[in-house]
Amino acid sequence: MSLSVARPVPTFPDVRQRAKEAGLVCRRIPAAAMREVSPTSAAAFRIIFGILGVVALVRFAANGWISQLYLEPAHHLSYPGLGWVQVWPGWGMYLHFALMGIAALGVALGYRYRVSIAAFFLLFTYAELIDRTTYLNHYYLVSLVAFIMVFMPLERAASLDSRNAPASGKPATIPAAVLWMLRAQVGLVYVFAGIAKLNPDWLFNAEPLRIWLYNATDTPLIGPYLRETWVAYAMSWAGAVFDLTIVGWLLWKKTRLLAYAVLVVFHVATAFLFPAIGMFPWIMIGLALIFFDPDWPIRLAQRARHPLGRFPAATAAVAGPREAKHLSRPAVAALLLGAMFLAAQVVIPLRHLAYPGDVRWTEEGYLFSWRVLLTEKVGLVRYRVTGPTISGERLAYPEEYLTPGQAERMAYQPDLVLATAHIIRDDFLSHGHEGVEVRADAFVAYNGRPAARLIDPQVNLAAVKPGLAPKPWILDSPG
Amino acid sequence: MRPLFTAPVLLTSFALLLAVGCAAAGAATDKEVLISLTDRVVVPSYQSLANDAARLDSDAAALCASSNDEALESARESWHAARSSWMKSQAVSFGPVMERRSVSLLDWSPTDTAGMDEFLASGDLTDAAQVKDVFGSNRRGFGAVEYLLFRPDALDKLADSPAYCAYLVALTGVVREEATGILAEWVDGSERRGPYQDYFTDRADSSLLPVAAVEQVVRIQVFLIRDIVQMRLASAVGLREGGVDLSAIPGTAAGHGLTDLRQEILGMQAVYAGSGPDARGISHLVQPLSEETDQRLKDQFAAALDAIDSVEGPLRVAAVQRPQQVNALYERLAAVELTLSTEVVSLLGVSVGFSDSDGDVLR
Repeated sequence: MSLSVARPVPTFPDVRQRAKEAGLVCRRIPAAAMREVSPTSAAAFRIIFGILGVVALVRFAANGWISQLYLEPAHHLSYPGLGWVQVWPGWGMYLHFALMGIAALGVALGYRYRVSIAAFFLLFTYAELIDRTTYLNHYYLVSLVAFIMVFMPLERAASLDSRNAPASGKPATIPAAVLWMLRAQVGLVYVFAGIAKLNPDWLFNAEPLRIWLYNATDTPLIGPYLRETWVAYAMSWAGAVFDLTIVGWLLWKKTRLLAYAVLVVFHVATAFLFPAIGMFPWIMIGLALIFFDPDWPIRLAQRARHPLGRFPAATAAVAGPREAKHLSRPAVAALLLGAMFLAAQVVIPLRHLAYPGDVRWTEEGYLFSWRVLLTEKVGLVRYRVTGPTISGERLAYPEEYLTPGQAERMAYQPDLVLATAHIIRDDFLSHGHEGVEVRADAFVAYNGRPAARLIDPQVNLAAVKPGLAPKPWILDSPG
Repeated sequence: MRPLFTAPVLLTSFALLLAVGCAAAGAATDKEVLISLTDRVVVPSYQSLANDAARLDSDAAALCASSNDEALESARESWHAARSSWMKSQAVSFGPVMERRSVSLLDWSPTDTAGMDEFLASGDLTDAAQVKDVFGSNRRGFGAVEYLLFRPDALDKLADSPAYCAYLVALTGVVREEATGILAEWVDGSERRGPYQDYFTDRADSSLLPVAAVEQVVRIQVFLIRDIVQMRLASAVGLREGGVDLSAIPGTAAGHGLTDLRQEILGMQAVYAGSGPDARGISHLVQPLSEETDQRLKDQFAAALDAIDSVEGPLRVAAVQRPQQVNALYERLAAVELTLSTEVVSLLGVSVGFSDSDGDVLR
């Protein structure tokens, strides 16, 4: 027997009422987005971002990475279509990073802020686009945040620009949408990092954390426990839950403070357990402060009885247009562009769905999608070169053309295996050989699996063009 | 939580953690592996090298004192023994041997035989100090001693030319001095540091974390097997320059290419599996993570040694006359290279790229 309940047919007045309500929401969201709020939280964000930028760049230079990553390689593995992004000659890269540092300092100080942040964005992103093997998720995040900061008035408080500006008599404010955008950008990292963890390796095999924790036994106090399988499972699941839910907890005022404390503990723990992740934990700890109230720096200063607590914005009446019809056209355009940017930020991490196979194996759509600390992969590649002017078969190894660091990172990324094949092809062509064919014996071990072939050894990679289309020459994942 | 309950809960949690920690202690730790490797593989390797180098030096002096077939044969045997010890120690070539740049004193290839002949023709007498401080790396070490000891007219030269003898004794003196120096740094320490064995195994206050020391050990294995496979054997089977290229295989005169390989693989096998009963090696770190990988690599080492034994004659000769045997050897060693360079490196979280930039492994 089935029970059916007749659904009431909506009457015309109901529909009209719902449309009215929907229209109201559509008008109120933009209005709320343009509501004027204290600029101090955004200013703190700007200062933290600038300081982190300076620290990261000093650290980068002090470790010799400018030379190691940009000057030493004889070849750079470019992004498709971005081969024109090249290393500057001579001292150019040092000058590039010096200017970047000055720009980051300008951002922190709020000095000629728009120029500083635009320069920082361009210089930083240019450097990151030179070589694919230098890709890091947090560098991508820095580029994105810097990009949206270019369009934001983050200099309205605690900046040299605001100090030098003529007094208007009104307390400084910024639209709430600025905070929304920054929160969304930071929040997307966590959400997609959490979604990426919803895979069998992470949830049911505790990989790759099992491997990483097993090798982190030098960690003070907790080191001996890290080899316990249950610890790997507990941390895997806790990590997934953290990433998937932390944004919600941060957005909810009642849980915000505790959530932030958990966030700090989480990132500090990852910094100690996995020192190779560098600045990432500190960047996230710094940027996540944006989830607090717009005037949190002032409230904090007031609580600490610090002179900053007398900042005018602290007592500013926060108000603004209540409905979208009161918004100016530039404001509407800005909101639309912001929404489109965020929509792209949602689509880009999901683009791997357009490719066949497991993204963790094929890496098609792997980058720019917040797959943070997700796989442990190591590869080994050798190339077999043949041609009418080559006697038999010649072997070529990536290390002969790339630095050890580049060779290590390209070995498990199919498009970089292809790019290296082209470097080898071009080298043979430049030595007078014709009709050169290059095939790869590429093996990859990932997340504890035995090494398996990554690339079809029969395919002549010299004839394969790089691009974003699915690559049929990538072999199936070992499962 | 009420204070009344706080203490018991904390105590129980601590006890549980302690219990878990004790249970975890059953598996080999990095430190245990390092201690076992150092005591049973590293120090014995350099002890052997020092002993054999001392014997070579004394045999060379005896040969110069009395140049006859018996003395020459004894010196040649001593050279083979010292060379074997040196090659076996390649699997543990971290620490002092790296810091002292011992390779430049002991094993530079190719040997500059023309330059050596030119010097000998001058009739100048040399000594160990000059060989060490003035001569180029390609005119000293095992290769140079080999050139003097294994040439067909060695006895005549020794009898006729004081310069020849002086050069030989100077060369073996440098080998002995360097071998002794490496051992001394491991066991006794140096002016700037205590015994390296204590530093390396974290037995003394050490800035070297065990996990970093294990990483060093694994890196050396990867670089060694890559050198063997990608440089020497790939050249020998004609996969590098379009034809058989023997320049990468040492042993022009003494024909020790296969012995070199055998000793290197034996050294790697000892590092991986440990040496002696109850010994611990890298295997004891890999096995809890993947029994399959561990067993496969052990089998591959054994198969590689069988393949070395299956090659007839000196490697240089076999590469030309019996290429199928050398090809089989190449494939066996390439299998070792694959497992070591990918699975073991991955399981132990080792970065072989020598790049310490952020997130080089953990993207």
